[in-house]
Amino acid sequence: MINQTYALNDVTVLDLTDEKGVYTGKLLADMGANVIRIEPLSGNKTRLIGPFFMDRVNEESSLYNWYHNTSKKSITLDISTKEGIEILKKLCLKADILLESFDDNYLEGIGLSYDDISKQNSQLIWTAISGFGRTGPYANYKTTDLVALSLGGPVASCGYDHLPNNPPMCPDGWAGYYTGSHYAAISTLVALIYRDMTNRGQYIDVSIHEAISSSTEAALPMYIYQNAVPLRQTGRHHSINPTPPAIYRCMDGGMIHVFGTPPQDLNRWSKLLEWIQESQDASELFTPRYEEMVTMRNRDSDLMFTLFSYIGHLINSLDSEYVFNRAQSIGLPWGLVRSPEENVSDKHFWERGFFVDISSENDEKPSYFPGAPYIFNKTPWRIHSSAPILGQDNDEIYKLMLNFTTSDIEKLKANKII
Amino acid sequence: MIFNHNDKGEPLPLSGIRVVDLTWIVAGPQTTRIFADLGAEVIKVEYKESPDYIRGAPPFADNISGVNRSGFFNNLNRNKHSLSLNVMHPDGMDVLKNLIGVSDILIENFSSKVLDKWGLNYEEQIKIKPDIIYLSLSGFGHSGSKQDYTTWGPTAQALSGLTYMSGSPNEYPAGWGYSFLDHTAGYYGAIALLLALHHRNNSGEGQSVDISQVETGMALTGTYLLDYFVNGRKYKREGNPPGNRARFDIVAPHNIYRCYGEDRWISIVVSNDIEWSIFCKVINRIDLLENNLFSTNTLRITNQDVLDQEISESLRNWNADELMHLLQTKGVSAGLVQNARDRVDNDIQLKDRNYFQEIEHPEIGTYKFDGFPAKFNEIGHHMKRSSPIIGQDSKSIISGLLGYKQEDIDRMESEDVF
Repeated sequence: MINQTYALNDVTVLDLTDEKGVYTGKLLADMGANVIRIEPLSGNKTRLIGPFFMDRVNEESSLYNWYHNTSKKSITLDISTKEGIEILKKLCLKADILLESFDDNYLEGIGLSYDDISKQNSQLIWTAISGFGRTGPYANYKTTDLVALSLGGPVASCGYDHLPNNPPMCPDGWAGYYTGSHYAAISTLVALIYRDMTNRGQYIDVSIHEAISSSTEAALPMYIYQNAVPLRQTGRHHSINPTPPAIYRCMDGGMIHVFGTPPQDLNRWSKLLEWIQESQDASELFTPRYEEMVTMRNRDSDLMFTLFSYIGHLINSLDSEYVFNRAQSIGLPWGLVRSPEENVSDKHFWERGFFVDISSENDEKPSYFPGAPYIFNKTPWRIHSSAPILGQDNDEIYKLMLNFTTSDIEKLKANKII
Repeated sequence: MIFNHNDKGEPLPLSGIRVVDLTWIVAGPQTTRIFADLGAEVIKVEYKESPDYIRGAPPFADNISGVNRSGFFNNLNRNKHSLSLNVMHPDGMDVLKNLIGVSDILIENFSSKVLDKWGLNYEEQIKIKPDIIYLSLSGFGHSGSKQDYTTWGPTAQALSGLTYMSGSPNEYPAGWGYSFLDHTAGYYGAIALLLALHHRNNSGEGQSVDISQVETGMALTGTYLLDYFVNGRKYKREGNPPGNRARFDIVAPHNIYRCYGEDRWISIVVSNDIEWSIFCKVINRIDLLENNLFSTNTLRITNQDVLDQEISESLRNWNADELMHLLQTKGVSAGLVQNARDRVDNDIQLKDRNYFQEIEHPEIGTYKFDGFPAKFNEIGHHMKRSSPIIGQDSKSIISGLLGYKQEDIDRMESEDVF
């Protein structure tokens, strides 16, 4: 029995991923794994994804790179050289997990294959993250977040029904790559659980396309069971039949997303009607036809549109924070439409410790970091260190893991291997 | 103990793990779907008088509603078992407690105070099963001033910032056309449980995990939150969200264009001059190559409005699917905007990887299901059982697994305990 402070204290991970899989390593590193970023001498290309600290475009200032590489270490290694790939193989013998997102067969082409390495380290878990999977007709197709979310289904469901000539929309923010990375983390951890029991590692082929295709809620069932393709609608669920608008602007310019309405019980329904009545004459709603929307779960389109026009008027006449808090106080799950930074001024997330202070790590870097997607009571999530400077851990890692001497390391540096 | 095997008769990675699944709607069932696919014995606890809301959600098989007929439910709850149980009845609570006593994991996604009210918070659970792993998945988490607020997928997306980040500049948010964050919160649930299981394998110790759905969305806005913290730059500013163009205008063309046919669109990302030259040749517009407005990436970004107009006019009569393959085989990232029909019927990559598999349901017949998005060389997932008929496993669990005597079972049956 090992006494652990962090869930993955006992795990060493080699992280060679680009933006397709870089978040996977962060998920493991913030839970205590020893995650080593292995980068080309010029740095992983995630170092040049913006935005940048003070708009300085250089390898150490990418905020994208800072966010996705917390708690990791960094070593440099030119794996395209013969000596470099031999060193990577040696590292694989000492590691528990290898994460990579190279183009199909790239590593095999330069001399590193799962079949070979697993003969020497049968416990290694090798997670290969790619746009479409490592087999099949699209194995060599090139993905991007836009293309991944288009082929996988989300884009077809997002857009504007009130602007019929507008294209479907791809949400900003790397959601496609995040979905792939979530499944890569799940798959890697499942393999780790299996290894706990059997001492056997394995090779995992994660397809971002399949991950996204599995994340579109009822879109697949609507087609599989009813042969229907839902229509995208502005700011709300895709639907086979049109539904009323869900996002309404408030007096102060803020916006409210209305959902779970009408509620499923008469108690909340009467509180909603009372509230609507405060702003306008809504006697039409106090009738059995509308009550049946609650008691019979009737979603008759005309009734829904009428109800929502009253709700729209109500929301238009009030301030957004007030609408949000009052709706929640009567059990309606409405939400503010916030821009990401607007959550910084919500004390709830500070009370829960979502934002963490890492100012002691490095003066130039921010004092606050966005934080934990979960709160564990025994093995905490933690930013163990800020994102590493390129190659900052060369000496430590090569000495500790491969017993290289200082002069070995100097020679490798001189030969531009590390 | 139900020990799940793959087609070759080998144990699945989570074989032998028993989950008491109190979840409903989408987010929690997404977590337990992953666990059930990977071999865990997931016992879905719901009461026949108040079944999971999604059992009443369309689409229904043959368009006939019924508690066992929802395709949406069938898709989310495959491979699970069903125990119907009235936990408001003392005998029902007794059964639940005995079940916890022989289980590894308890998961729920009720609003934050429900298990407290049942007298079943984590402190009570560990009296029954000292090494239980307890996962709660709620809108705002189990601490902080908004812990009593509730969310559904769409309003959690709105609050986290994700809704705001989707759309054309100067327009209403297009948001997400489905509950993206129900899936995502579900993935964090699975990641958390696997981490906790690994820790238990090492230490013998269980623990509790508290997930806020809104925070799982905020974790995906980390880069933009950092931009606010270190640069004071808000996401809410002129030009944001960027629509389908590249964020920070790093490459062009990067957009979605209309093609031939009804609602047919293609996403295209041209990331350098070589790809630009290939792209122009493929779409038969070598004249664009000679146009000074577009000769470098920087110029293409500067003149993006004209560029997108030229491309839009050229692509109107293209078949989007053919164009995607032509561009991809020459190394340019492109993807058809696929709806559910495209994915189920026409996606040759998903077909080649056997992504959709059929499972027979005892009441509604055989339907297709989307598979697990990763392939393991050593272990795998299974797709053996459809979603359960409500209460189908009640008796075998209460008598077989928990060892209740026949007379107790008869009494409980007469009092509608299960």
